[in-house]
Amino acid sequence: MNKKMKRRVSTAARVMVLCIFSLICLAPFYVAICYAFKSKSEFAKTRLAFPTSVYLENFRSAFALKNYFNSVKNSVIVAAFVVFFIVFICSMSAYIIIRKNNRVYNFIFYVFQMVILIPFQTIMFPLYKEISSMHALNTIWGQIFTEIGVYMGYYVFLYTGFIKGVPIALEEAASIDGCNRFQIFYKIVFPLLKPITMTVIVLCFLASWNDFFLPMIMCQKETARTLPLMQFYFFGEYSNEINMAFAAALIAMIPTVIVYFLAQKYIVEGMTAGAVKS
Amino acid sequence: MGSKQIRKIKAELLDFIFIFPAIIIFTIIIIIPLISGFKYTFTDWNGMSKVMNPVGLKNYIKLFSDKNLILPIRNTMIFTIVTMVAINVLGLGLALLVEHEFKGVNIIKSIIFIPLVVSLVLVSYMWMYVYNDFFSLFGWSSPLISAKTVLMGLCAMAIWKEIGLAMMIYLAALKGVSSDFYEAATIDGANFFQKFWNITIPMIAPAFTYCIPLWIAGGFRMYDYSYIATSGGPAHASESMAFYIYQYLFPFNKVGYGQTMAVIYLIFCIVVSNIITRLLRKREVEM
Repeated sequence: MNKKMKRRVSTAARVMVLCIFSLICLAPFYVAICYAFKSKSEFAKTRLAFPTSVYLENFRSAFALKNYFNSVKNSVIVAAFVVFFIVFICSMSAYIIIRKNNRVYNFIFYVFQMVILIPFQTIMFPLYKEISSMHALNTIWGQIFTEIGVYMGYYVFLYTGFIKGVPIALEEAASIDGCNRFQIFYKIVFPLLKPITMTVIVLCFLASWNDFFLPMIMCQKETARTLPLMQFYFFGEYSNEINMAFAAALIAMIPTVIVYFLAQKYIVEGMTAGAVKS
Repeated sequence: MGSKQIRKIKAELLDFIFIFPAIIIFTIIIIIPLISGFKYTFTDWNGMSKVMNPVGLKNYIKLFSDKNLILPIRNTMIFTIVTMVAINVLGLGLALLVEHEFKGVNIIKSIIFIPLVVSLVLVSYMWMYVYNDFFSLFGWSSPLISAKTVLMGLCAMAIWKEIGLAMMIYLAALKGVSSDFYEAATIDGANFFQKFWNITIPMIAPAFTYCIPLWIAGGFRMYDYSYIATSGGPAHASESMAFYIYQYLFPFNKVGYGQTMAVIYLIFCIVVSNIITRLLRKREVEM
């Protein structure tokens, strides 16, 4: 066998293994789609056979549920505010941590990083009591506020990693021209942070949109539930309406899939940032 | 005080405003609960009543003689080790497979990565029905209904969800290895495995230092799968430490004891993470 043939065979083998693996990766989605696109009686008959006709009644009845749009609305509001404040707060604090680079600011940075290590269970009960005493339990605002606090450490970490590579020369020139630090930050530095800001927006959106545990503790009330929480109760309460539950879950997944395909580059960059440079 | 000094203090204060909102939120959401949580560990509080009786170190003594803790600790350890090893080994394997470009490689990468953006709720439910319906095609029963296999069933979910991330991290690391090393080794007559052990592994060591603690911490934190897919059952066989703690804090109303476990668990997690990161860093240098 010559070299060219050998390489071809090895590529073919590699592609085969990867294709089989991809199919395994897709299997759970296939099951969800089978349920969502078949009526109950059809599912009982054909089980996991490929859906032959497009049956949309499950999606229609999911939309008709009284709390569905409410949950979509809650999820959108929570994700939007959390992303906005995370970008605003984390970019500023990461910037000043890097530019000051003294003992006080480095200590603050270290403390922020601690939260990445601690299991949420260790603070959840006192936090629950505290939020409750602030009358913010079961409110969208309480949930936004707690999510910002819990997520913050990771995004400060991402921002500091990026800001380390931003040259200081431009800022010095602006400072000689009489700009104060706020002007320097918003006019010069923040626009330069656009790539990492995109990454933070995408990752933070996904984290907030998919978060289950934190809203379950902080925001159980029916009218304030976000989508993952609604889905959780949904699968429990409508255990004989699984087809509709899967239809509702698939709709809820659409925004994350769109974001994923549009912003794949930023997701991968952000998630691999800590691993490669250090 | 001279005007120069005043200006300096003003500048320092202005700088501090940058980090002030972050400190306020962090203090309210993380620091205060950590401290007040610690206070609960010396009481028998049930979480609701106005009275909190001090009990001294009773909760801590109970903790170290609590036989019921053995099972959740064992479950958490098994889950953590199995998922950590499988995610890293399979992730690195996949990264090696997709490293050399071919037509369609990006589609395959996207497919393997996509479970990461699915919510844990949907992951759990999809897999419950995969286990029910897909497995029955082969005449297998769902692993979630037997105490012997339930943990492996949950491990499979976590591995499926996170393997794409490991693949991407290792892929980024592999792309950073200069091809010069491989060429030199090839001239010296090294085969694939020799190159893998002596070049690839040492060169991508920073990725290991990042990934191994990441999935150890992830395993220690595991809660959602236990809660959503199995509610800890059957017969407590899938209760993780985090789930066990949650039960004491909320449904059981034993906050004093629950919070004691939480505090000890927090210390355990931080210590283990630090030791492992340090060991890996040291190895990185030796390599």
